Amino acid sequence: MIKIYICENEKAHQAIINKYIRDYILFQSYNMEVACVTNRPNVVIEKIKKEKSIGAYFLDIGLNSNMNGIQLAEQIRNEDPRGFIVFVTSHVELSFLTFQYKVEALDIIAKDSQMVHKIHACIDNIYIKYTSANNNIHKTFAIKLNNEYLYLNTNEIIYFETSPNVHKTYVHTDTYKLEFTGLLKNIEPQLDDNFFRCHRSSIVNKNFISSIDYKNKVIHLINGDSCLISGKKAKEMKALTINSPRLQ
Amino acid sequence: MFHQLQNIILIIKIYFFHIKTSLRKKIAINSLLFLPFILAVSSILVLYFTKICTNDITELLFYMIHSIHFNTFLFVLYFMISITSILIMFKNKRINHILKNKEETFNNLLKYTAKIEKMHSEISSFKHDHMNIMLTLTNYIDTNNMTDLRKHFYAQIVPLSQTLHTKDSHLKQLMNLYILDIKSLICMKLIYALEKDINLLIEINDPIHTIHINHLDCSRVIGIFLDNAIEAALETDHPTISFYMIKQNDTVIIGIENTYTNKGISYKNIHLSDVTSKGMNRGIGLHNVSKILSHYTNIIHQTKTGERFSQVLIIY
Repeated sequence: MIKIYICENEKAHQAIINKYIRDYILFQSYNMEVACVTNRPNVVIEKIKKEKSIGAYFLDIGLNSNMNGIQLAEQIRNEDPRGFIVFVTSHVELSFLTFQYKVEALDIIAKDSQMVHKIHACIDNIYIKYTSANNNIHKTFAIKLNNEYLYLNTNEIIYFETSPNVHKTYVHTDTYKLEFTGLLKNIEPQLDDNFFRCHRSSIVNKNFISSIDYKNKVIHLINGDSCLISGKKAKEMKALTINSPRLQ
Repeated sequence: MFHQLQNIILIIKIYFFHIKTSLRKKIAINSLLFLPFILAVSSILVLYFTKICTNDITELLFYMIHSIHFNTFLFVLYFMISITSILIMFKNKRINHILKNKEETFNNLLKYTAKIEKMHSEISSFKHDHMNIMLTLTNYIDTNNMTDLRKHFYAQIVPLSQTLHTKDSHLKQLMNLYILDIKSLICMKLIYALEKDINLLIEINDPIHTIHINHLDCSRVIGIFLDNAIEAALETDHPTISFYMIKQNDTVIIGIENTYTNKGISYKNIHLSDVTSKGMNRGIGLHNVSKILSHYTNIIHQTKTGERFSQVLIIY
């Protein structure tokens, strides 16, 4: 059951958004309900403090209150790190990429003629993400910034590789590569046994290996890249592959 | 005699070494101007206290010793003057370079203020029209004339609101970047992009006053990213570039996304010096970025491909 919270300071808009959401949930028979419709951000925070389940939040940005929609979203994130936040606003110039980064907002909807369709699309999106998220618990790899961490999903990481730049390491996924300060020997303990330190310069995710060339001591990965494997580790790898027929 | 010459050569070598190190460290070269004098004095002293010739030959070459000393003095004087002038030349070159940079920064900011002022006057004229709009609408509503109201609204009012969102309007986001030298470079590149009809989305929502990277390095890296983005976007049908800066506590995140045509170069290799989509003798920009960023341990650099090509720097 996903609980939906609406925070919007104009009564007319409140009613419209509430109606659109209620009608659509009914139409799709989703396991969701509108738990709260208010113009005061503190009400939302009070409610979710008592609540333990994941929520979906439709927030306006200009709330004419002690905090605006963005600050409210940050507070919501503190209480509900997995919740779904959608901004519904007339300030479309105020930008989306920033919110996406700071509070992991799902979407930003402009209060125009397309609003109803976008609300429907968001609710579908939330439902799909919720039902699939329940099945996976994503392990993360953390990169330390000053006081915070940057989290990457380990099941997206294909391999780690040392960079020619001093003390830096690359991490490769399907869509991006990232260079950060770190040593492989400090990274290795953080990872589970999906990862294998195959060479002095690389750690690979065994799930993404497409083939291993023992003669040339090279591991080929499914995104087309390749890593080196050292002699010693090649023997270890051979021993492992005998036990799991998938990795040949 | 040879022994003393060796001493003089040693002094000269030490002198040059000092010049080199101070140029490298960019220490004020003023202090070095005294060294030629010291060198001259010391070499003259060395010569005068030197027994260049034995007593026997002295008598024969008596007049020559004085000539030799005099010549040496002239030589050293000449040497000293030329070194001094070279040092002054270097110093002037450096000052000129700094002045040129300042002038460029200033010109970019002038261009930026011109754009802002233009936008401001557009808004002023809209405020002016607003009164008229309100008047006509009030009239229609008071007389309960729904059909005419509807006609007037869709014909006049809606198009008006759309003209406000011109492609320039994103430039005012740069207001939040308070670091002037980086701002002027970004202005220059983005105004160039606007002139090339690239669709621009700029997001700087938080005021940014400080950043944990040398401003010159930052300008160079952003400059390279923007150049690449502009060049790649212009190859597409709907060129779009997004530029954003986000501040989270003390961390600044800078991102540049652009539309591109996929030429099959993987993000893995794009930073190597011999890999480029641009043909021979070009495309060293990203390699330079890599070199500049290698001096910093507090920067994370992400290169992403997909629907858009994106470069993100996280500076903490």
